[in-house]
Amino acid sequence: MTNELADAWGAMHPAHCKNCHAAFLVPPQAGAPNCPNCFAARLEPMPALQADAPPELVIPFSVSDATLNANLERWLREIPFKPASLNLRALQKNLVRVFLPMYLADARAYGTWTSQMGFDYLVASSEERFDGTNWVTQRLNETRVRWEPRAGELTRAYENLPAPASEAHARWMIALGAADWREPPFDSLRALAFAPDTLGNAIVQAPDLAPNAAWQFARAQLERRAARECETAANAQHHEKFELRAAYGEPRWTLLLLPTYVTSYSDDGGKWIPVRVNGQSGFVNGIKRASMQRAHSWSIALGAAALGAFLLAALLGVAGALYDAFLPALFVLGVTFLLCLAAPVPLLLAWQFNRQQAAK
Amino acid sequence: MSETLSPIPPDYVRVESKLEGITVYAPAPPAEQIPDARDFKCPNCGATTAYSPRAASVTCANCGSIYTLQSENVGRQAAEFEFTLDAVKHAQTATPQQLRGWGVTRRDLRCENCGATVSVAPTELATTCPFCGSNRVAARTAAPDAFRPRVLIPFQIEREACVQLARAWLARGWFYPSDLVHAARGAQFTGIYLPFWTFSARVHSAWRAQVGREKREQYFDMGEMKFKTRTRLEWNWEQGKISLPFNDELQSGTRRIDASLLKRLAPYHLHALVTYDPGFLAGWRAQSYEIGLNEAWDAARGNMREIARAACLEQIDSRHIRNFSMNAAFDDEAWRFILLPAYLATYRFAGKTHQIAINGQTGQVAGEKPVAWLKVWLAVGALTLPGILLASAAALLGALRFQTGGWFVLGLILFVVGAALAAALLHRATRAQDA
Repeated sequence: MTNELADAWGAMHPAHCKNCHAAFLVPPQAGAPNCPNCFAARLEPMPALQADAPPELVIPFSVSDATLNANLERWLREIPFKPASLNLRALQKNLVRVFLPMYLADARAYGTWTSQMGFDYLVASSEERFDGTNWVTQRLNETRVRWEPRAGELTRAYENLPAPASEAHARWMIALGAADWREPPFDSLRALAFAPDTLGNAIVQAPDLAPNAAWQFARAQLERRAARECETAANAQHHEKFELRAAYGEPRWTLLLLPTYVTSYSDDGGKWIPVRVNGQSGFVNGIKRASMQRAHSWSIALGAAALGAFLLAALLGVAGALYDAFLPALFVLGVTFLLCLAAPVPLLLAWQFNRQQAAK
Repeated sequence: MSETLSPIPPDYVRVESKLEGITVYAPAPPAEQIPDARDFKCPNCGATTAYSPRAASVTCANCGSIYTLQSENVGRQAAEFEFTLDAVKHAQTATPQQLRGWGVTRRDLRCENCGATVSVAPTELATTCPFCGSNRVAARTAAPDAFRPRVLIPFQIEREACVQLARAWLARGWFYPSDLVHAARGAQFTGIYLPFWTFSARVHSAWRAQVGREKREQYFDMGEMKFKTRTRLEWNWEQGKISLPFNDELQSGTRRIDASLLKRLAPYHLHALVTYDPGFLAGWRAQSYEIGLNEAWDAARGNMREIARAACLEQIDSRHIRNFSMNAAFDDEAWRFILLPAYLATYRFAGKTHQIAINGQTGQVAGEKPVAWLKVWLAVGALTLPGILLASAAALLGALRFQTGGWFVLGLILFVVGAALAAALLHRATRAQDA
């Protein structure tokens, strides 16, 4: 680590995961936490980071504890037969603050473009109603799209084009609430200038993608923005088949840190399953898993109760034969039947829930 | 970080951009070299040329030169237009002078041949100079591109054939005056392109009605103390859906010719539609529309919805229907303005003027034909009198104590049959007279 970097990161020390090879900067008080990226191994100290430059911007955590707890509780609510470690207290205990790296690129583009532009226009139509004697006409206006080719030249500057700084960026963005990983679910306008004390006791994931490698993503973002701008310039409302042939000025890169919470719970097999929370919006996401062991226990308990009820019904049947009173035996036999029906339900519910989650 | 810059396509022109730093180019609109008006003179001899149905080209009657027209057969594939708000608004707001104005506002077409200025109605698309006989065609009559003729069916029947067609038509049928056929001799046929609108649409209809179904049931008649069968109606709500396509429904764009006369000129075969070229109008009269798009569409829509109603009613397999209601949602509506060829003439017979029209594509003739009522009444008499006479004679002889009962009945039967035939004949003659 260079002196400049070391100054920038303050007292944080570099660490890495031997399973997923992600590198992090860990505050001294964090010890050797689980890897927030894969949760398959503990982070181990490493001599130095391969980072080029310290971050320039950081988006601060802005979710209050109350909101965070409420969101986690809401997330927990739907899970039947939760594993023992899946409860609010355990999730709070395992909660770790993590900053994720992302690049913002500023670039100028000079070139030509072609596209099919869609223009909305209104068409008069009608719907008529016959009530038995007269026709009543209702005039309607329908919006249709007329597609026309357009071309042009473009000389524009584009700022804050998001681009991944880590291999796991796309997976993280989807987990943190993005519909499209290329549109990060964070408001970068609320970013602050980086200072070591803005990190608090959070772990920072180090970038593992160089700006050159991230340029293709930034360029794709630039083309998407250019397509929208060309649509506006052409006074159109839709576009398709947009092609930009451009030269680009040398981009300027900014490293931005995105706030996330990471927590975890262990499933029946002891495997740690991560739960991620967007540190700006509070959006919670993670694989929900019902405990088949707990469901199994419930099923066994109900089966045992059914067996006991059956034995009781048999005893009452014998007694009924002696005293000519079969009604109690019949009643208990009915209860036995209901318990037999209910016994496999917990297992079925847990299995079905896990199956639905796997499909998601 | 650069790619080869591709140039803007050469046939594109710059248009307004709403953003700084971005220029926008669009395909240049097709350059149509349509002059406001065009004279048809033979480049070879300088004589006036005109479109000839026989040659299907513009020909010079003086030197025999033939000039092929730049047109293609597009048939029913001819471009159609949607009911965009612009088109509807234009059709609503155009002044009567612009669109109809027959005889109200006139415009001048200057004859390049003799220098005379000919004043024509704004709805006239072509004219012949009354001073030198030069043919002149106005190509632009309405502001929006869609409202000028873009397709037409050229004349395929020659003017010379009209008299023969009219004579054959006048000679047809026995209850017309015998010398009517000679009246065609004096008829002067004028070839004119008439304005029509074509409309296409799909109509989706859903209907609902109470339908009565006849049920036969047995009941016990207490009065007669026995079982009887009776029929009663059982009413149930029923519903159905239908989707009907309408393609190229013709609607007249002129008020000058009676709609029923135009109807009898049909059909026009639209597969013969060709793209507009002013040459087709050279030497012929042509009229622009007087009935606007919206008015014509209202009428066409009325026809379509009635056809849809009839189709809905056909779905109901019972004649007992009440509380019938339906809707008709129009979809994919499209229109075009076309010109169709017709010959118009009048002839005088017995001091009265009668109109006659000939379909310029098929030769179908329609018009007014005076009925020889003396012939008709003689025929009515010939049909009814035998029965009356036979029955009267039988009745008279019966009164004189002759056995004529059978003859009387035969006379009555003859009279009834004759009267029915006479009624049918009168009905036909009256319809022919009204037509």
